[in-house]
Amino acid sequence: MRVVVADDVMITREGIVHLLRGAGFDVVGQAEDLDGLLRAVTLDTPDVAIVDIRMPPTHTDEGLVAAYRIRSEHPWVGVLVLSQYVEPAYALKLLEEHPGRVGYLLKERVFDVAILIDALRRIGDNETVIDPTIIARLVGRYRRRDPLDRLTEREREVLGLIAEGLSNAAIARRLVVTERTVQAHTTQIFQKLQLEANPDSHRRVMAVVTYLQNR
Amino acid sequence: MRVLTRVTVSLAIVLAGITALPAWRSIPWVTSYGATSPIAMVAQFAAGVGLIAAGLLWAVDRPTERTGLLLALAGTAWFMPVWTGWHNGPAGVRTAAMLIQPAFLPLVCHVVVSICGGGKRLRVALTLLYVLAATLTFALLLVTDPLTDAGCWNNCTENVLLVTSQPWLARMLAGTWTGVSVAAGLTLVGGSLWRLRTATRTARRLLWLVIVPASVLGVSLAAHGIALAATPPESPNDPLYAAIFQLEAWSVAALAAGAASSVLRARLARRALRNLTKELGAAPTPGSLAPVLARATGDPTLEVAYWLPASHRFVNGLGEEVLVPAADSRRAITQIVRDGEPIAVIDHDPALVDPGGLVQAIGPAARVAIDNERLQAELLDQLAELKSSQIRIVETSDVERRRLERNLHDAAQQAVLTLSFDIRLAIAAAGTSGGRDLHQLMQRAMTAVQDAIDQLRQLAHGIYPAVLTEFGLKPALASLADTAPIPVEIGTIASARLPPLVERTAYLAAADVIDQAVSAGTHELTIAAKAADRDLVVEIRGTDVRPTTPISDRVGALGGQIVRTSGIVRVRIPCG
Repeated sequence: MRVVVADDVMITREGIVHLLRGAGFDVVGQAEDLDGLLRAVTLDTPDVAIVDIRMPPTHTDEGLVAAYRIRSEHPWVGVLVLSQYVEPAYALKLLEEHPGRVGYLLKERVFDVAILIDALRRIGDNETVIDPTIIARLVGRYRRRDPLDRLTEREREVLGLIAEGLSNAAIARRLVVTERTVQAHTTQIFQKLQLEANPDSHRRVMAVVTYLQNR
Repeated sequence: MRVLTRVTVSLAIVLAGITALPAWRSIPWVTSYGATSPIAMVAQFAAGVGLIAAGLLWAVDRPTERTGLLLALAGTAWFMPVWTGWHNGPAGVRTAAMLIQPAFLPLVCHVVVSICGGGKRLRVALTLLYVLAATLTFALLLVTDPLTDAGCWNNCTENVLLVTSQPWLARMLAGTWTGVSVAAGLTLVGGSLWRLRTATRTARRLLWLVIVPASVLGVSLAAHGIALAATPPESPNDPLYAAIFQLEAWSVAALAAGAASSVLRARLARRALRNLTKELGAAPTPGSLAPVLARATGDPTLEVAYWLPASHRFVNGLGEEVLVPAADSRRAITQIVRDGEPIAVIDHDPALVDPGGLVQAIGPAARVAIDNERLQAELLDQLAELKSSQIRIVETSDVERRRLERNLHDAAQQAVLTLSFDIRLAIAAAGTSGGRDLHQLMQRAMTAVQDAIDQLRQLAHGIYPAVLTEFGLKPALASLADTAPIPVEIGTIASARLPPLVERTAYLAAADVIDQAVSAGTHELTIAAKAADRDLVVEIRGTDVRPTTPISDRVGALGGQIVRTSGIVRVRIPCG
């Protein structure tokens, strides 16, 4: 898999590159700001771009801007945004504006090579990736009349994995059950929460995250 | 000047008296327009007495101005034809009257210029007119012998100044004077109309009573000269001349009335000012002096600006800073000085009659009102300054918070991230060879690093929530609800972006109230933020805790308020 890495901090960037090369990825380009990233994406035709959310010049949400530009100009290139913020708002913004092939991970995850590789693979497979910390926060939030009380323990677990962007097959692998069982859970969850079941992975994630945020 | 005034006043009264006496008693023995009919006599008297009376009014009211003297002199000159036409009167008196008579033209023009104002060129023309009137008349009297003049009508007397009779020269000099008076009359018409056209609305309202009669007078003067040239000789029984006289006399009377009215109007204005204290009441509301002054003076554009010596600027009655325009043709500035110190300026229309008298009237009369107003203006100004400095303090602290948040993210967190990377590399390098103890140690270090990252993140978020700046109040409040240790329901939240300072204050107030409520043992809260009028109202239901002082201060600095009722805390923040 061809990857471009954009981060203005050299140590982080080199670290990611080192890990990826060690894991057999083909790092075709590196950039330290928005313009450099866009150039690298155009010239090096990567499969996925790993982008720090804060980059020069403003150090605010350049990563989201980059994601938007890449997804609209090079739809076949996936984008994994690395962020410091455990904020559903950032993740939702990414989901809303850049359908499919996007991921939002907390920055500290990238040095956990298993998680990084998993995220890149899933994005490569047209899936969506949302950091588990954000989903855990949304699921675990205190609610007055918690609609999630209607779910069983297992169903809650599945709901979280759906929100993280996992496909039914991936959830089945994770929970070591059959895909058919996961399918049954999913149907139950969507029925209980009165959510519209959507076969598209991206839409499914968005529906669940939005639901969790607004309840 | 005071002495001059008294002399003028007495002189005018005496002249009016002795002029009126022979004219009144001697209609049969006087040859003048006034003697032709009762109505002509009324016209003659109305004009002359009117001018003298207006002159008296001016002299008494404005001792320092020349207009009063000019009016009285014009009135006196106006009566001279009566003396010239005194049958069998002493030749010396009649000649003297003949000599003074033409001074009426420059004098009446001077009156108009003096009241309505005029440029330098006008003053030069006026001087020229005085010189021409004096020299032409004197020269004429040296060479003209009325007794030999077939066209003589009211001056058929011995000319005591006669040196040699030169009828041809006399005719030429008389014709020249006629030409001059036609030119002067036309200039008066043109000048008056131009002044009326270019005047500001206030000036027009104040001056038309003088300007309109002046232009009619100009017409009659020109008409008289043209008639003299076209259909000599002059005769009071000729209906054309009689009509021109009526026009002239009544326009002079109207001019005198107009001149008097401008004084009376100013007196009324000053009386209104004297009642100012009453009108403003014991505790005048800020900014009420200027409207009262504007009403009293008839100048709706009038503004009052107070000088604040401490901050070296002018403010209006509401304490707002104002720039006092430079005095020019469109605005005039009158200073109010007390004990040698300027305390205020009145910015008004230059046509405003007698601003000096106005200020004098203000001095003793509305001292309390003006002092009150000035003090209030000063207080309001200081209050505004205090408010903006409070806002600046809040803004500065926000900038500082943002800088801290960035430092935490970009420096501290980055350093810890790098550390975690190194630990992972070390774990990988140690592999299986390092033994279990080393491996466990590394894992513990890794956990500690993750804790440090989480704490840094929380710290940074607490200092300055980036999500608020980038996505607004709604996601920021949702994030608060996500992390709150009790259920916090998010109600209606205004979705429009508001000024950053307002959003930050609303967010920090909500966060603070949640914290306080949790400490107080509240079980659940609902937060809503709605736009009301031009304010943002953050409503936290389920508690009535008192927000901490920094939050109250912050809300107060923005001019907002916090209202606590049973079960609800409402924070109202003006949106600018």
